[in-house]
This record gives sequence, C-alpha cells and structure tokens, in this order.
Amino acid sequence: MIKYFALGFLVFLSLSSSFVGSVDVDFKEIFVSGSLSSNVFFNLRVPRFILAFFMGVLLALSGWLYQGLFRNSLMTPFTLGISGGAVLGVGISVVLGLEFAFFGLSVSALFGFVGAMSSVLLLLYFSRFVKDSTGNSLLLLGIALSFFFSASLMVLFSISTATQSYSILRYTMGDLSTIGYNEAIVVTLSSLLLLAFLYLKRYELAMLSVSEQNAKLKGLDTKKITLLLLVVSSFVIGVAISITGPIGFVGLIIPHMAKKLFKLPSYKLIVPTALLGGLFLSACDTLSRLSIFESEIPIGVVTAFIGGPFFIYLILKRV
Amino acid sequence: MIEIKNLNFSYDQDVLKNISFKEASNIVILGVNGVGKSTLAKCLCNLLDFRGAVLLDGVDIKKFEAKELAKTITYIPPRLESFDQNISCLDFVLMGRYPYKDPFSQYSKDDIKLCKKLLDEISLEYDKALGSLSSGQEQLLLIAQALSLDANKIIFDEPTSNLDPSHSLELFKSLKNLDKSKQKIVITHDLHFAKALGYKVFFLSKDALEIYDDADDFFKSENLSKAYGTVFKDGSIFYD
Repeated sequence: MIKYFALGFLVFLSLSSSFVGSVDVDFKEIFVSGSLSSNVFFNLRVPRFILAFFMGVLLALSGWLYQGLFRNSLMTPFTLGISGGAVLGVGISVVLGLEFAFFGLSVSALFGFVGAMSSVLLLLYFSRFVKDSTGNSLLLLGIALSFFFSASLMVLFSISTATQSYSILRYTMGDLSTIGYNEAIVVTLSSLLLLAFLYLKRYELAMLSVSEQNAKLKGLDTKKITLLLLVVSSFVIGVAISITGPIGFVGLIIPHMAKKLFKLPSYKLIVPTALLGGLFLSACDTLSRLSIFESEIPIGVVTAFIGGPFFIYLILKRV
Repeated sequence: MIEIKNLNFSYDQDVLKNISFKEASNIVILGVNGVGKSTLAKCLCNLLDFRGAVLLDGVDIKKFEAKELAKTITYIPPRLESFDQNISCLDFVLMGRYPYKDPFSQYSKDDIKLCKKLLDEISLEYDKALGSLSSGQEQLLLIAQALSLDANKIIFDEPTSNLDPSHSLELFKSLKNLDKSKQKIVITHDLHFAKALGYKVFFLSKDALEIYDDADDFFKSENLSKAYGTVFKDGSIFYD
C-alpha cells in the first residue's frame, strides 16, 4: 500500500514540475502566445522538465548498468570518478575564462565531457591490470581517481576569483536550469540511446548479472562486451553530466528501489528503472523550486536529502 | 578427446605443475582438498589464464570462438553464485541456449520448451527465483543449465556434494543415460559414487597426476590409503 502511495506521490510531484517556480504560471494564459505564462512555460519549464526527466533516466540506467556489469551494488558514475572528471573539466574551463558556445552547447560543457571521458579512459587503462572480476578493485580505482580530481579542484578554487569559485561550486551541486530545448534534446537523445542499447544487450547483461564465469561458459566474450558497454555508456553519461553537472544518489538508489519495488530479475527492470529515475529526478526538481525556499535549492542537495533517508528506510524495512 | 600439454597454473603459489595427458574416454578426477582439481577443470574451459596448451578434439582452446568453445566444453560448478538473486529458474536454464540464439532475437519456442522439460524433470517451478532455492536445488539447476547447453564435453565439479541419496542416484542414472558420444569428467570426493561410475580414475596430487585405466585397481583399500594418507578398510574410510 505504502508502495503505491509513494509511487503516486512521485508521479504527482513530477507532473507538477512545470507549474512550480519563482514566477507563477497562469494555466489559462499558457496557450496565449506572447504572454509571460506562455513564455515561462514553454521556454523554461517544459524544457527543464524534459531535461530533469531524461537526466534521471540516464543516471538511473547508468547505475543499473554498472551495478549489474560489475556485480557490485555501489557502482555509479559518481563512485567510478566519472562525475569527478567532469567537474574538473568544467572547473578548468571556468578558471581559463572560456565563455563561448559550440554547436549550441557551452564550452564548459565540452570541457566537462572531456573530463568525464578522460576519467573513463584512465579507468579502462588501469582495469587492464586488475584481475578481480567483482569490480571491487575498479571501485577502489574510481574512488582514488575521485580523490585526485577533488584535490585538483581544490587547487583550482585556490587560484580562482570569488565569482569563478561560486560558478564552479554551483556546477558541482548539479544544475537543471535551461533556456530553450538544446540541452534537453541532447540529454533526451543520450538517454534514449542508452536505453535502446541496454535493451538490445539485455540477455548478455542477464548472464553477466549472475557471474562472469556463468557468462563466459555460455559463450559470451565478456571482455569485449564489457568494453563496449563501458565506452557507449560513458560517452552518453559524459555528455549529460557535462550539461547538468554531477547529480548524486539517483544512480545509486533508483536501481535498488526498482529491484525492491518490482522484485523482478534485473534484466526485466530496464524500463521500470528508467521511468523511476525520470520521475524521481523531476519530482526532486519540483521540490527544489518550491516557493517556501527563498531561492532554488541545488538539485544534488535535494536528491541526497530525499534519497539518503529513503534508501536507509528501504534497506531496513526490506520493502 | 582432451589433450593437455605442460599445463601450469599459479595463483600466489604454484597449483598445477607440468600436467600432461591425452584422453578420449570418461574420467573421474580425485584428489585431496586444495590440490587443484577445480582449477584444472577451469583451465580446460579457458576460464583461467594458464601456461601450456589445452587441445579439444585437436584444436587449441585459445583458438576457439567463444560460442563454439561453449558448445564444445562446459563446467558445472559445485555451487550457484549469483549477484542477481531475482533471476527465475527458467531464465537461468535458458542461458544455456545462448550460443545457439541469433544475436538480435529472443530465445526460440523450442528452446523454452526444452528448458521447461529439463525443469520438470527436477521438479522446479519455472518462476522460482534463484535466491529462494536450497543448495540441493541449486546444484540440480546448474546441471539442468549445462544439459540445455548440450556441450560435447561436460565437467561435473562435486555434483553430489549437496544432493540427498535419492537425488544422487537420479544423477547417477542420468550420467549413465547421457548421450554416449559426450565425454564426461566428474570431480568428486564421493568415492562410492566415483567407483559406481566406473570411469577411468585420475588422481591429482601436489607432485603428479596418476592415471588408473582400471578403476577397480584404484579403489583397493591399500591404494586409497596411500593416495589419501589415511586408513581405508573394504574400500571405505575407517572411522576410529
């Protein structure tokens, strides 16, 4: 019962996302062309909802993929250091004062993407020397990379101006604000590409989610498929994180929530995980913009505030 | 035909040292704990990075395409270890049909029918989750999965370790009735089971691999006592 109530509330919060914010949107004026409500609704709120929803899809799917692929419940783009790489990339572009756009995307987003991909390449290079198949060593490598990126970011903070520092800090907490549809379209396409790719590889992922030995004995070239999945997923995650900044907790908790709520084998949870991720992040975005707060709360703060306690509840109650 | 040439494998210490043999008939592999029986089995399936050569029907296993190797030889571990505990028994047995499946299609109706039949034979519900199985059921399920894979050579690693006497007997009959063209390799500590199978005996020790063409020869008490370093009477361990 609690399960359905929680799901219903999540859908409600998610759908109200476009009607909440510092400017009140008059429902009657939404379709009156040129009106403030119409402008805010179609140029700010709708693209923001799309961006939030599909970013949630992407983060949840990436967590689902990494956890199944490495058979480790703590694997996410965050714990693997991919988010840390993106933040460092953005930090460098801010300190260098680069402010121009490239194919509709800011140069800092491109630096974020390069940062994310660099950390993936480093992980792939180091993983060649790791024999452990449970992913624990890879996880530790990811954590080590994250520390290295954090330290480098601290160096950037110490040499940047106050404005630059603030701009980097905002990025590290995640930001879904957007004007127009460019960013929303890029993130939507990225998440749909990942969804389609994972669905296509669902039987291979099911075998890997048992054990690497099980997959090898059934004729799966595990090294090849792991590399392929890592490269494709890291590419789309790198693109998306470079736009919104790192948003924690979604990749970690949503796959667990989907598993506990639907009690299905993980390969049948691709679509439920994606939907739950989308609903969760867009619902969190609604909360971040509630007028009870003086200004918008960073989205990463909201996901952690809600996700943390709810995750503990799920584990303790074994829902 | 399985042929091994100078096989060496080490984790932190040497486990297998210069193992060589060539065998086309069924084998029982015996040996004390930790001597490397399962390691040898995993090397035969190319699951471990070993030195030396393993040839299956004359072809080096490193030259096999992954799916072809799966169809040629398989290994049934003694325990089922799965990260995803929600996978159903039917899904698990169906994985055995993966090498026969078209890359972009689903499992065929014939595959599903075959796997359901295998599950019926061991009285397991199709939708039962892996996490809810007893260790005996897990062992039967692993065997069912290997049978759905239908490889030419099958390695059973301690297949009776979690089975009750009646299921051990069922397994014994299944092994006897299994396609004669398939080469069976059984690793076990169950000496009665090993003797009843009547396969050639390979006794693996730290220093050497001893081969007994006549199983009865090995199961004499004096040979067993020498091999295991403990007292045997009338072919059974002497508890005193």
